[in-house]
Amino acid sequence: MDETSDLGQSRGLETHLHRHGVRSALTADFLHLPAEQPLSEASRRMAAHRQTAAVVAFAEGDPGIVTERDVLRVLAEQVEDPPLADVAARPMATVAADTSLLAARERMRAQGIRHLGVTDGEGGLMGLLEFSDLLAASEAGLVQQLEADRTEAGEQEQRANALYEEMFHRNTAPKLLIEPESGYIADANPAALAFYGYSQAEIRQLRIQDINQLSAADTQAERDKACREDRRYFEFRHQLADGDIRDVKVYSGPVAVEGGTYLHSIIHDVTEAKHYLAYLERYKTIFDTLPVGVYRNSPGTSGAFEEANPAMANIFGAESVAEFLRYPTAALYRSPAERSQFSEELLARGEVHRREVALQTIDGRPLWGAITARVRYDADGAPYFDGVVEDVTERHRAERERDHLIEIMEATPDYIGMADPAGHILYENPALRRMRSTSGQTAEGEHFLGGHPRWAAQRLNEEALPAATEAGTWQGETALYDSAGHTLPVSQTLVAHRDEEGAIQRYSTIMRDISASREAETFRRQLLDSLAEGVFGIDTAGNFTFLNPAACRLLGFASENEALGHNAHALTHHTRADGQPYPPGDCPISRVQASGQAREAWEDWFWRRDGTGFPAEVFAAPLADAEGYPEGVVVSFQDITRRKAAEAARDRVLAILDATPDFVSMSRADGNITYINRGGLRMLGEDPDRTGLEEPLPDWLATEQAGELAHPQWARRVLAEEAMPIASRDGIWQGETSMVDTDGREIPTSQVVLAHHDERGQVVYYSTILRDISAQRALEAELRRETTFSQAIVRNLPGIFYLIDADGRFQRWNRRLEEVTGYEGKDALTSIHPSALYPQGEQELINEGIAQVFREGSATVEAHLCHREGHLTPYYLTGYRVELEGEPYLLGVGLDISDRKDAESELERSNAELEAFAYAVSHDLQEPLRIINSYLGLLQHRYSASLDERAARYIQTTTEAGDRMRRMINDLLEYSRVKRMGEAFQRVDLNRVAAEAHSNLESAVTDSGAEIHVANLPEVVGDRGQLVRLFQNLLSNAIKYGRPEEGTRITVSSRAIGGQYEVAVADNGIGIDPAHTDRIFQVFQRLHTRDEHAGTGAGLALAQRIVERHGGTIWVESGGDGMGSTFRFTLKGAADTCGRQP
Amino acid sequence: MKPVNILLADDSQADADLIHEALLENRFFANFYHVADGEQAMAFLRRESPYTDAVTPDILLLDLNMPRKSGHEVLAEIKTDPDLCWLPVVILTTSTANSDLIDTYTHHANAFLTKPMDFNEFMGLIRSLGDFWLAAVKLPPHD
Repeated sequence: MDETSDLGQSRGLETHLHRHGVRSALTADFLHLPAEQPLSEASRRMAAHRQTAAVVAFAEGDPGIVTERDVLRVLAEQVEDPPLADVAARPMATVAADTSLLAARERMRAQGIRHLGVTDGEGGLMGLLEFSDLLAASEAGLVQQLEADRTEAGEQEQRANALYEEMFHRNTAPKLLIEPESGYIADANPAALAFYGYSQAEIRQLRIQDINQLSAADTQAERDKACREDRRYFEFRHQLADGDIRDVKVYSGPVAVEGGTYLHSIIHDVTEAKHYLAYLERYKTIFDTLPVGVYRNSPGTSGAFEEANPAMANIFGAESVAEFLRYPTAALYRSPAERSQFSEELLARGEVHRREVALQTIDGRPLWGAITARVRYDADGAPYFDGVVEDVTERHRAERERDHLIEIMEATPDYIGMADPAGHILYENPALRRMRSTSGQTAEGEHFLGGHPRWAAQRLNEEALPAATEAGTWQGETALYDSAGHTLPVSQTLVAHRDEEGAIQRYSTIMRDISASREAETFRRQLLDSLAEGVFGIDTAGNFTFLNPAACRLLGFASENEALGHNAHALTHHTRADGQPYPPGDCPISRVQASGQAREAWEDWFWRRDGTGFPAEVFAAPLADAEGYPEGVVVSFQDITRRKAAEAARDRVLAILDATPDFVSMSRADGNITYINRGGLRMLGEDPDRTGLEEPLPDWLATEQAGELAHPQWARRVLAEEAMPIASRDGIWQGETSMVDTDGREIPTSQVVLAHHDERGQVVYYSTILRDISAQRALEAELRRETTFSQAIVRNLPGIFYLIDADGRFQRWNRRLEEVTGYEGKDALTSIHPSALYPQGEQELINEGIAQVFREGSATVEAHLCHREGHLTPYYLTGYRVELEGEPYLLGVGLDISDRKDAESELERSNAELEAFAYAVSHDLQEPLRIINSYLGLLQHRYSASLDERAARYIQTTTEAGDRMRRMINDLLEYSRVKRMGEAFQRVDLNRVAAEAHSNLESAVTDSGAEIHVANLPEVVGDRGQLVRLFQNLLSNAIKYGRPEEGTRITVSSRAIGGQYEVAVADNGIGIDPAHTDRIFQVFQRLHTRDEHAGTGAGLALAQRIVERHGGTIWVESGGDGMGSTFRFTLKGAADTCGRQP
Repeated sequence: MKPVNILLADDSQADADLIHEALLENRFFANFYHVADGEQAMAFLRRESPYTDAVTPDILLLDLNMPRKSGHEVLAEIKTDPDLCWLPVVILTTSTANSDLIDTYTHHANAFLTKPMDFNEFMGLIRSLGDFWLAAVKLPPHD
């Protein structure tokens, strides 16, 4: 509205006032405050009356004036609460009522005041003028204004009637005249008719109740309310003719018109006003309830708030708007400089839009405000600010944060992008841009799938987008193309952003280059996979979280999945190795879990899936998350079965080392000894129980050089010059040395020195073994002696010597055998069977002899060894079975019996000759003897009658002699026949032999009365006939030389001695002088005359010859004359056959 | 009844006489002839000189040990001569050798007798001989 044009017009005040709708403080409603009233109270009163100025009445003198701004300013600046007297402007600026508005306004502007007192001609205060009112007031003049106002009420009645017609009918306001009792409408002016839509006639038919939509009760209530509220209008609802119901303010009062009293009602359709009021109310509500501060303030350093809504008080921490308004604007700025800067800018630009300014509450708490403000100018052209303040502290912070996020987004090496719902790229962060294109060119607008390899794009399209669309986010592994076209593996998160209606607004994605972590992951995987150690992780509940392949294999799981999620202790660690239960609390792994401390490696026992178990070396370390909270435990373990076996083996070796009597020691390369076994300590004279591998060595030992360890000089030299160098070079040296024991004796030793090298080939330490070989040496010497001895024996044996194994192969023989057989050389005899050395006819004998040796232990054989070239040599062979090293062998010795054989055959021959001779002689002798005997007999026979006694006796003597000769020749013949004409040996029962001999001597036994007792005799081998002869001779002898007068008793007995039987024929006869016991066996020897005992004397010789032929011996024992005799002879038993032909 | 002709071949005259004596003693009806060796024996049997007039003996008593031709040879000759093999030959010898025994029987001797040492035994033997060979036994005819 153009103020100047407004002021130029001198319209009617009423019209002017009506047009502006302002009832200013020009009424007498302005406040009068006493001068002594405190400022704060004054301020309160002013606020209550909604007065921006008040008149301060002094007891004396002119009144003063105080404006609300003044009050606030002072209150803000001063701590005390001064009285108004101190504050009020005195004298009050006044202006006469007839002053023009312009002049009055000019005055106010010049003085910088906003309130003027208006005095009438007499100096009385009519009212207060506000600056703002002046802008609206017309030039018409103050007086009219005042006059019209002041007199309106007083003159109202006077002019009522007069003006009735004028006022009533011409008035543009709808008016009704109503009969009070009935309510009928008496009269309605055209405005009313137009308003209600009735004609005059129609409306006079109506009652006001018909129009007033309020019920009678409500109407009355309204009336009462108006009375209470001291207002002169009623708020009703009137229905128009067209049915429309309007809110009306009805100014109603009684009037006396033409003698009657009517209700005069002016109807103000306040529907719009009500709406507008309601509208204003709403706006006021909005104004009051807006969380945004709305204000009006004056600019400048002393600017103050003129208007403010509750939000302003709220934002700035005031308890009420009133309290807030006391504060100058400067108080709310953190920095005065900023305030003035803001102010200047606003003035310069006319408006600012959401300028964020650093503000503070009245308590000084900082906040950020976004100010939108505009400059307005008042009637004087003074500027003031209307503005809106939004507390954007939070938003500021959020925006700051958002900026941070954007900074992060811009700075992160991760790739961040955004796309519209169709997939076109809206944003790429620098990292993504750089990766995609070395030139930094952006891909905005292109479809985001184009930056991915086909498989990744497919995945995004088919899986990620739908998932994100449905669930909001998706995460997975994909890949990107980089600027060079290489595929980069990424971990991608896709987010779908929806707007308030739920439609997809945009997609955003974050991709992280996982090639490194992939590599790390791959590396980690490969590392874990390649480890020979088993590694597994468990969570805080003890369940498996991962196992590497080695762990799966060692624990017997087919795959990691078999174990994941199961309790590790229950599955693999439930029992100890010895079968004792293993509570989880005892397990070191759970202790690691509880304590958070890693545990040094320990030995434990794990169970496999299949129920078998194995020893393990275990190490456990806790896992914690970034804040140090325990997350679980990682366990690594090794199957130490082999190591245990190696340890056991090592312990066994150590036990062996300590058990052996040999000296075993180890020393470092410099010669200092690190270990000696018990045997070694013993050899050195130390207590063997003192040390083992872990215990310290005796002091002197620890300092001794290995080489000086009680070795004599020569041994030390061997060690130093030979053993150590060779061992260092070749790894081992063996040889003979010696030690000196504590008594100073030198002990010969067999020594081995080993040198142990490291990877570079340097000797790290030596070890040595010494064996006391003194006993061995002695044995060796003895063995040598024995060997030499036996070899000498064997070599010099007169006969042959050989050793045959159980298979009949020659193992050993002497030179003699080679010579005799002609098989000379080392191997000549090994390939032939012993029997091949003998003539065909004797081979069976030899084989049987060999068999007998192995069977019965020994055998003796006479056979002829064949020389290769054919000649034979008779040998006497004896074989003995010997056990050598558990195997049986035949040890054979043989004696060349050619000489003996020659002698034997010579003897044989001579014997045979002799026998033949004896035979011939005796046979030839027999012939003439026979003739002699025969003719003697004939003589006797023929001429016995002619012979006298003497002649008869001569013939008798001759005959007897002839008989004797015959018997002698017979015996001789028999004697000679023993060997020559003997039968082959057979088994002979001596009992029957004795019986036959007995029966042959029947007559002699009977004649002598001798008793012959024969004990149980054995079976022997011999010539039956000769044995009978033998017994016969002995028995006959015993009878002959017996003692018939006492009774000759003869006993025959036998006993076994050695391998033979000894038969005894004992008599109680005359006995034999021991001096003659040898002679009696000679042929024809007689111990007695012919007269004493008959006998040729050849009987015993014959007996001897028979016994000799049987390989035995015969002798006689006698106590002497009269003591009886016992003839004993030996015979071989039946078991003693060797197939020997005598 | 004709008398039996006994031929004795024995180199011992004494033994011949003894045997003759024994035969006479026992009154055997026999003629006794004696030759001293094997050649004479064969000549006698073959009626060769000087025994061209010899009778054919009915039985021959043959000693073994004879000079010039032993009893073995005589036996062999007789027993292989078809004209003489019928002749009963009784060996009468001092030999006790087994070989003589076997040999003579093998060469078809009819009997083997050993001359006993004892005179009485000797006499008894001749008697037995006569009893058997001269009385009991049927001798083969001859011309």
